[in-house]
Amino acid sequence: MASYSTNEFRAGLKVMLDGDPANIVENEFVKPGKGQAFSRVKIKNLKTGKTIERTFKSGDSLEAADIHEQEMQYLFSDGEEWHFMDPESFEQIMATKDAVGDSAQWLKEQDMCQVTLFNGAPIQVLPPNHVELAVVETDPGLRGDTATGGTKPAKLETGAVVKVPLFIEEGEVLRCDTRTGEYLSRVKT
Amino acid sequence: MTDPEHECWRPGASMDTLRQRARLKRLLRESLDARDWLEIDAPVLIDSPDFEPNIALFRATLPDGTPAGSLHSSPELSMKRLLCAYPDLPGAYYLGPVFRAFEAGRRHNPEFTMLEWYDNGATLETAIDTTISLIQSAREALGLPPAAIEHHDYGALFRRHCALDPYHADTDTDTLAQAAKHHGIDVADPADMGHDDWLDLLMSLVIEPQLDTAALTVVTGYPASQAAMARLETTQFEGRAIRTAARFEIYGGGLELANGYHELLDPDEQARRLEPTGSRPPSPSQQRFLAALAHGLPDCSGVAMGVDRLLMWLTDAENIDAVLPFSARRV
Repeated sequence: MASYSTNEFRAGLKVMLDGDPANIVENEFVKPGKGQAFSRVKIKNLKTGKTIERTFKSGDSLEAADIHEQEMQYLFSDGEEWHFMDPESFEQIMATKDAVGDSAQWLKEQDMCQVTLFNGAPIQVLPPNHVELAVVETDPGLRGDTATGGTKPAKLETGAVVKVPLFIEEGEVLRCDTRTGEYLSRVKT
Repeated sequence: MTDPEHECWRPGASMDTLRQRARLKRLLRESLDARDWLEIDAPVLIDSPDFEPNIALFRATLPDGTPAGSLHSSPELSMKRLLCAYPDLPGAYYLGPVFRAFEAGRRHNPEFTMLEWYDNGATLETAIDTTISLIQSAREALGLPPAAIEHHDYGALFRRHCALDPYHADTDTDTLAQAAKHHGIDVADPADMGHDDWLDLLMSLVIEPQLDTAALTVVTGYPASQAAMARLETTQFEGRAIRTAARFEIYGGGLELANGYHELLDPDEQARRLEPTGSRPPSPSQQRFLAALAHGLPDCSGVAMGVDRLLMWLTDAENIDAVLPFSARRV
């Protein structure tokens, strides 16, 4: 596998750090005029999602990580394994609970997801930014109350719970932003 | 620096900043010319004087691939040879580009503008005063009030901010590593860090951010191991005699602007410092430099000032890209 020297470090570079694939978030070059140069790097572990700061002496290098991101269709899950399909090759892969993480609550069968593969295996799954999901559980709607601005929790078909306006009823389809976990609008069905 | 690629044809500096840049260079020349110092066109393409362990040079090659020297990282050797040959000159300066490979970042551009001067007969104190007065007159020329001046001792800074004595033999790499760890600095390969690497790290990441952002800060008392081409002197720290370099650095709000030396005159000592490993014979230009020192360098102090850095400080620029017409990523 190729490796990258500190002077090639830049945001978005995928490298191996402490045995895990990681993404360089930021690289700051620090050097006293006559002294040793350093790279102060903010780096995100792609397995744990944790971002740390580490300082490298200039000239140090990190091994490149075999990471690529791919659009894949979510097929189904049995609660332990999540199955996805490459829409072009029809090849299917399986992601673990760890890889899917909190994204599981937004995954609807047939939706296209962004899957991050490390050495060919999924380590992260991102749902679409916007999803349309039906409400399966919420307090009865206060019909006509579109003005008070109050909210209540609503459980969606995929498991996510979002805050919705008081007039929303069970069975309605909502458009939500998965990045913020917020309700956006009702979808006319 | 966040401009997308299709905007990179534009200059990084605004027209106002470019005017201030031109004005700053004019002011520096006028101030030094008024002292009857001579501006010298030191050669930019020189043979490879690898005497700075922490500076990587751009190598030049002929079209057929034959090595043809390097771009200078400082005009120091040429300037000193000139002073050896013409010891009656009151002073000499270079104002122009220098090149340092791999140095790119918020505060670094691989090609930058250096003002480097040699003041014949000047002590380190005189060199500090001259540097401060040049910077203050640059502030005045750009309509800024004079900056407050702070003087700090290298050892006292380490005592205050890192709770250690940087000169003491007991301050080993483990002690320095502990101090870095205490400040939340996680070093990838601690085993690869030498004593001076740790000191540089603590200076850059712990001490510099603590310097007064509005003031000009003068730091003196660098350890003998960081003397480069400065002479050594005996000073006092916490009641005992220590060897330090006759060297200063000036920071503008934590941004390193200039450094200066009371220059080393002894050709034998200089030869030893040029070849710390003794493995390589001196290059022709190093031999000429040593021959010049053997002939005799007048007692002098030399100062190197980063003109782009000075302009960054004067214009409150966050990124060196904002004070250059075309920084490396826009070239």
